[in-house]
Amino acid sequence: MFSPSAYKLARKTTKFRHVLVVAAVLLALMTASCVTEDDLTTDQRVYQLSQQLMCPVCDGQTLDQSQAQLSEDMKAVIRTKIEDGETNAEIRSYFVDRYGEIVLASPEAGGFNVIAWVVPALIFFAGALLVGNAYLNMRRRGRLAGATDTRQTVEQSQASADEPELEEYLQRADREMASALRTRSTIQGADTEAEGKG
Amino acid sequence: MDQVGTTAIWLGFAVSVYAVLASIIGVRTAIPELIVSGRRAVYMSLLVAFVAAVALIIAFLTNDFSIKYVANNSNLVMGRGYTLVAFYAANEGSLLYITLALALMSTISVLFAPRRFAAAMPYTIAILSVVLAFLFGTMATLANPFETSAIAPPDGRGINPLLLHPGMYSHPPLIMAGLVGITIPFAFASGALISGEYGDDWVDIARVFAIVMWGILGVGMLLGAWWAYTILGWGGYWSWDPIENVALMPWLVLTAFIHSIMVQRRRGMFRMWNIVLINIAFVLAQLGMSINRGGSVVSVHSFAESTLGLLFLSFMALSVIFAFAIFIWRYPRLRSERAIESFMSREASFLVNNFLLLVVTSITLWGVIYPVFSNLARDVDVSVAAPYFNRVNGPVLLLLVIVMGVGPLLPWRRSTTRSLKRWLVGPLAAASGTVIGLVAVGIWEFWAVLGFAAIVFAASAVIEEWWMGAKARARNLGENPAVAWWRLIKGNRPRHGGYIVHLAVISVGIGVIGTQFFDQRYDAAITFGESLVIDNYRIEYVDRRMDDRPDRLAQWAQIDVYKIDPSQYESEFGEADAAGKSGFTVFTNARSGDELVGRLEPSHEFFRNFNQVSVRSGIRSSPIEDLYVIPRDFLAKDENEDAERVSLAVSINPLAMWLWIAGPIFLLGTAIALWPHPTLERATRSRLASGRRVVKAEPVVMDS
Repeated sequence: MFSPSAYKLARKTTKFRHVLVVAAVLLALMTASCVTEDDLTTDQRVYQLSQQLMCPVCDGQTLDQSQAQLSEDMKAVIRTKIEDGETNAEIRSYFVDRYGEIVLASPEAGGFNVIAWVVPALIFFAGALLVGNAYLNMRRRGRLAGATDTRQTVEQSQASADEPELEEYLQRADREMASALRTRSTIQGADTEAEGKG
Repeated sequence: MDQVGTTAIWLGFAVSVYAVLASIIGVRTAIPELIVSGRRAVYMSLLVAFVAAVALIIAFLTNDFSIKYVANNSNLVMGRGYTLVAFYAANEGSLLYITLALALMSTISVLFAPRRFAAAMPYTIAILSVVLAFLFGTMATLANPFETSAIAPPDGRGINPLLLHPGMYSHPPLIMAGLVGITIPFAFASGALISGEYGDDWVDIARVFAIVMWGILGVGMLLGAWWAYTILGWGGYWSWDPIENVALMPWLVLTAFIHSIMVQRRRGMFRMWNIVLINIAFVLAQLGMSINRGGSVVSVHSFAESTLGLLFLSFMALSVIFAFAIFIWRYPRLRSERAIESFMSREASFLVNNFLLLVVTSITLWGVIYPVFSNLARDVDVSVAAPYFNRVNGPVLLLLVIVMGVGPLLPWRRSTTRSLKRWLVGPLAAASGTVIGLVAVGIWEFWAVLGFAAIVFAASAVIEEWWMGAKARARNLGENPAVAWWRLIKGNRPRHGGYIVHLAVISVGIGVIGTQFFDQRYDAAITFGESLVIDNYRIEYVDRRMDDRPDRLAQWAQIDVYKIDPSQYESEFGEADAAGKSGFTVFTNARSGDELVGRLEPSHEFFRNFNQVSVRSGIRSSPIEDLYVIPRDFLAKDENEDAERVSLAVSINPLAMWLWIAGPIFLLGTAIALWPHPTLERATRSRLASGRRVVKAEPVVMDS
């Protein structure tokens, strides 16, 4: 009596353990592959920062993309500051003090701007919930319909009860199609077989 | 010419309004003559839009500067070849262009609409004509391209120099046409809903037009990326700029649509969902056109700024209300006939695909509007650019690639764990092999490794499908494997065309990962005879060419590219690294390991009238990596004539070429997916003859 479910549970825990192992390996890889500021050369950090800061006088271009003189000057400032030992965060906040938050190519996750980062996660999980729910609904409907085929016909006729002519037409079409399908089923059977997963 | 044009535009407005009224009154009062006349009014709108377009072109060709639009977007020195570019270079002209494009596509769709759709056609025509009337009306009242000034200036202002490029012939018109064209599938879906023809009749024609628009937008975006990368010298190819995003979002939703519509065609499911998707795509296309008209967001594409943006935004709001109102009105009738049977089915994988595509779309939309939101909420301006989008969309896109690999392996309805496992073995082994291989050669970047693994997984899924399918055919029918493969593709064009498009997406993925994670960059200024060394290249500045004209100063840096033997430069590399540099300058001549591999001539042009710089990059491209050189500036044109220095930005962009390889593959796949299937068409027609609601009548096969 209990053995199948116990077996299932056991299988589930092994599956869960697999997931844990994979997650642990991924996490280890992630930390191992993490690049810190110290690993980069000055040039690389200038490049990195120039992609994270907007050119204040150009429309929607980062320092890296812009051809403006100001961008060149700002890059020179970045270089000096890196050579003076400042961190990327310090350099970014220096430019924020001068030009305002608009100079950052991506809002810093703090204060009001937390919203900018939280909303995408919310979108993902809310969407996942919605889709999961829709999926479960569809499955449930499928099972109900499968259990009692008659019920579906009742539902169908109820849905279109307001259009008697249409209903009559539909029923006729159903009958005709049923007979047509019977004759054609042999051909179609071969067809679907050949197509496989198409 | 201005009178011809203005008259044509007003006529277009009148004709479109007439088409709306005639169609609706005709169908409501059952007067067939009115319905026919409404349809002909659509053809008429194409004719007048065409007349207006010809009038504008003639005005450009004859330098009719009394027309403001001509004076602002052309001048006497502009090459006649750019007349067409000037046509849609600014707001008024591009409005006329999209009107012409929509009128043309409406006419085609009305002409080729299947006869069985006739009952819904008047509503579809009415919806198309409302949009046309809006466009004609906007031009007539607020943005007339034929507006004249009292005194004609002797010469025009000329076109924005950044737009003077053959790329202007392809990228902007494709994007604009693709966006406005989404109106067509939307009109067919909504027309079907209003008329009560809520069956699946609208699906076929909507699918064709959706794929066409999707292909146009896709090619348009790729061309834009290519243009930005190779020509404009922006260094990148995609910067998640608002204008790029508003083209990407409808494209993503259309991608979801053309997947999920297969489920409707095949299994009669997802009916409501497909209508929701096409509504969203339409609304996002409206948003795109609104932002294209300028105003609300800051963009590198701000070539055509005006207050029209607000008008288009209002029209978008009305579209939202309209689209979802009729959807809610008809909602009770849009039931699926069948249910999902298993999570391990093609249907379910499409559900996941749709979910992920819409998540990317929503997150992108959020990123586009967040600056506006921040400004309204707390009066602080912020920027949301590439670093943000890469971080929030990157993981979701990675998931999408994985689903792209799993989906094709799953059959319709359901699959057993065993058969799925059998199908997954190959792709999973290939993906694991990729991880091991990359780590073995010292590539550790987590997201890059994961990305490559996902790409290999998805690619090998497609290859496995083809391999198994062709093998089965070759065995059973005794065909030569290549012929078997070709017949396999021909046998189910939508599906295999789709797989080819998957390969194009994979190709883009390769390029994106390569350039995002492994690019190198070195900026420095050098003079004649000096070289920059980066990675295994030495770049020698040989000479400068100049062309000083009244309107511009153009300069070319002539650069010799050498492949070097890094061991020859070991000590310099060591010094550079100690000094925190990724490259270095050398003054001496070539060393024994240096091999001349080519010459690049990147250019730098300064346009005096516009105070604008236009740069053309020099690229040495290979499937492995691009060497990419941008002349930032030519320095020291002052008294010290010997110090002819050029400031160069040199980068190495690994795998960049794969971004462009994707283009032809994408086109090929789309074309194959669209290509009509003669025997299938015949089958459909004969099936239709036996009863209209064939799909509905199929018995529901359910296993309890």
